[in-house]
Amino acid sequence: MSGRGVLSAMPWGAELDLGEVDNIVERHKWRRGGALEVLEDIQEHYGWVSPGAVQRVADLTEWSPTYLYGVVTFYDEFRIAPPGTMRVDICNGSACALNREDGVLHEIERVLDVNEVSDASPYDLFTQNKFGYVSDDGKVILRKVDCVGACQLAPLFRVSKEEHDGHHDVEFVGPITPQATEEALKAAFARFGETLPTAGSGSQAPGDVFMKGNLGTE
Amino acid sequence: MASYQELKAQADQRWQDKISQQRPRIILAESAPDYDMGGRRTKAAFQDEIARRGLDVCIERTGNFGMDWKAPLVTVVRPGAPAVWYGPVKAADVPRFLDEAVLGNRVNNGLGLFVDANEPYQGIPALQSLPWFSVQRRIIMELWGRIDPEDVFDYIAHGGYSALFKVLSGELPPERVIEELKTSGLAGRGGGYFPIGIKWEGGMKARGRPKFVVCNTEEGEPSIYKDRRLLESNPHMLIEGMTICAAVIQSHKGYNYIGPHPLAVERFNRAVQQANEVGILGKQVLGFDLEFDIETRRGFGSYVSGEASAMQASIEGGRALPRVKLQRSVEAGLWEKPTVVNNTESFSFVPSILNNGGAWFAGIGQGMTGTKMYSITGHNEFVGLIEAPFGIPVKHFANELAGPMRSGRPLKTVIFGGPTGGPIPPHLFDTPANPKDCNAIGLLAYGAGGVIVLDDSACILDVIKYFMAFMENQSCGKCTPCRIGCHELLVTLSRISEGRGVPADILTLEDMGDQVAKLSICGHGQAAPYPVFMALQHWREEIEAHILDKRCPAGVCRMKPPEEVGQTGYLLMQPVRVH
Repeated sequence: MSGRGVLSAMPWGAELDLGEVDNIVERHKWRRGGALEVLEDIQEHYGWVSPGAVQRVADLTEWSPTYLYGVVTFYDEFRIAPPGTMRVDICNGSACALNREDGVLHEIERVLDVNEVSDASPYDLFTQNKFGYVSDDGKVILRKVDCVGACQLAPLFRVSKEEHDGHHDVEFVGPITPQATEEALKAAFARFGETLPTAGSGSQAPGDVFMKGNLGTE
Repeated sequence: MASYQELKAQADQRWQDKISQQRPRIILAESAPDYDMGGRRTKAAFQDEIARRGLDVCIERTGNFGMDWKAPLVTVVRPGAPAVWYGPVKAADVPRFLDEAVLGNRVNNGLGLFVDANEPYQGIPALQSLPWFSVQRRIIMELWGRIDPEDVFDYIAHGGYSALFKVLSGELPPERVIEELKTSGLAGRGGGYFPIGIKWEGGMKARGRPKFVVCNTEEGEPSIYKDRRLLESNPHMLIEGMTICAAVIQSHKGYNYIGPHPLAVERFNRAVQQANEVGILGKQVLGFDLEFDIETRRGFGSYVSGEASAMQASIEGGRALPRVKLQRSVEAGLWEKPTVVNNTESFSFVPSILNNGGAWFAGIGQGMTGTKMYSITGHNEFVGLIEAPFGIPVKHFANELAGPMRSGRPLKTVIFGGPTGGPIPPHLFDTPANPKDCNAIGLLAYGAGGVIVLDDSACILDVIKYFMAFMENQSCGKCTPCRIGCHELLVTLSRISEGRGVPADILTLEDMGDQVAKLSICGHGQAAPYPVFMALQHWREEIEAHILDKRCPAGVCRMKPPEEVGQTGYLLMQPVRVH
């Protein structure tokens, strides 16, 4: 771990235009149980829920930042770090997890040049949903996600471009084997007009994603 | 405001126009598995090719049929011939497909799956002759793959909303509805199997106002995807069920809590919008004196919010923490008001029960009435959705419904009930698949209908460790037995799988599992240790091989060298991740 405090180095999203937050709050303010809706719309619009946006919502409503953070950190789909350009989700539903050959994850990590994730320990199976692993150039976010309901392809991963509209341009790739992983990733990235990340110098601790202030903002 | 009769006449007319066309119809299945397998590209290819050649062919849309392993599915209906189903039709196949199957005479072009007729047609088998289909009985899935899920008139033309009309017009007063539901024995399909008739009666008699109707489509457990497919394939069936419930309990507001399933949310929202446009929802439902409106709430990925009280907390806008239930939710649920919470599948059964009578439904199935939807997944080939009566032997799930193993290896086990179920050993495959008989063999939670089929490359310890990792991660952290107990069970299981198990670990698992099951406040913790119990009951030898012989019979678990034994220390002092 680096010596810096987490909060001081946390990406604040100061460069974001928070004007839309006001509109979103206005839309849901008077609805019962609107907090979750507000946060979901913020996530949909910006791709992540930045501390600045949370503060803005708290300023405009009676919900405290603590309460809002409680909600954001409870649900797996919320993200409190900025998105990259591409997103690779490895499905961790039972059909995928139990079908997966050893080495597939390591191969994906190698190709995408992210920090090593071990699938040996069950603690790692689900713990990285919030922040994800990011490739060295900050371009790709690699996450393990719960069942995506495409079990006919198991074991699979899905590739999408970060455009916040989620469903429409998602490329599902499966069944994957360690040998075919690199080609499959390359083909999937090519469909979005992207190339694989260039090989970086070294790996970083997953916690550092949290520390990096400039992710996806270049 | 159109009356039901006008809507029905209009719908019949539109359906007649649709099926009496004198040109070939290409019906594309458009549900999530079809899209995943390139269905959008196939559709674009069809559109381009038809426009380029200037063909007189119409393209239509339908939902899922259950054959996910053959997606994307395409149905071709030519005038004077039975409907033929093809799959998988990839974009590259489209020009050849048009030449042969749509315009030419080579109907059987190698992609043909079945025909919707009693006799085989040009060498393509009839649907009823497929073993996969003949053991099924479809009530909810009857119209899947046949009607357009984004067109309310398709549903009305097939008898949709007639049950709602009967209820509102007084032909079936609320008391009769409750009576029929009680006769039918319909039980909640989310995994709890609580009788719906009794729940609705409680909702009807509850004195608080306003009342709420809540549908649970959260569906966050791994390997189950039936409810989202229901919304993708026939969302109006659910809207009808929810509206009938509203008419019975006199509610004016419904919520559908949908998990992070984008296409299901999209289709359901569209269906609600259409229902509002034609006057099925809104200020006057079908012109009668009932106001009812359905709002969609998106779940944002949390398994525990499938628990009824946690889901209510989530709809109220906070963290999905379950509550200690001093009162039932029909007395004090959402915002402490009377609330009827049911699973998507349960609501969707109601229209057919009211149309055909409770006794008809009660005559289906053994051990429990009616049919059940299952999503089948795992090492098998036939990955998809099926609907079968309760009480068919488990071996059907291992044979006809699962198909051959993809690897060609022998089958090892069938797991019912998702992450809280358990692996059923082959010598018990004659057990009828219903909650009662499965409880008797140690499968304590029958679950919501997730079936996982595994071949002999799977290790039972690995499977239950996987389930426990899921339950531990998704524990909300509110009550201690679940938060720490699941973690400790997981630590113990991992230790065994690393070859560092000691014989006392089996006692630890039994004892701690017992405490977690008995002391947790909601179903999450109460059911979390069930797979462990099932494994210890039926697969003890395999677990013991890990502990005593330090070997994994299936070769899955990575046994560490013995010098690492004894490194764990104070387990309870380890940080417990709570979110």
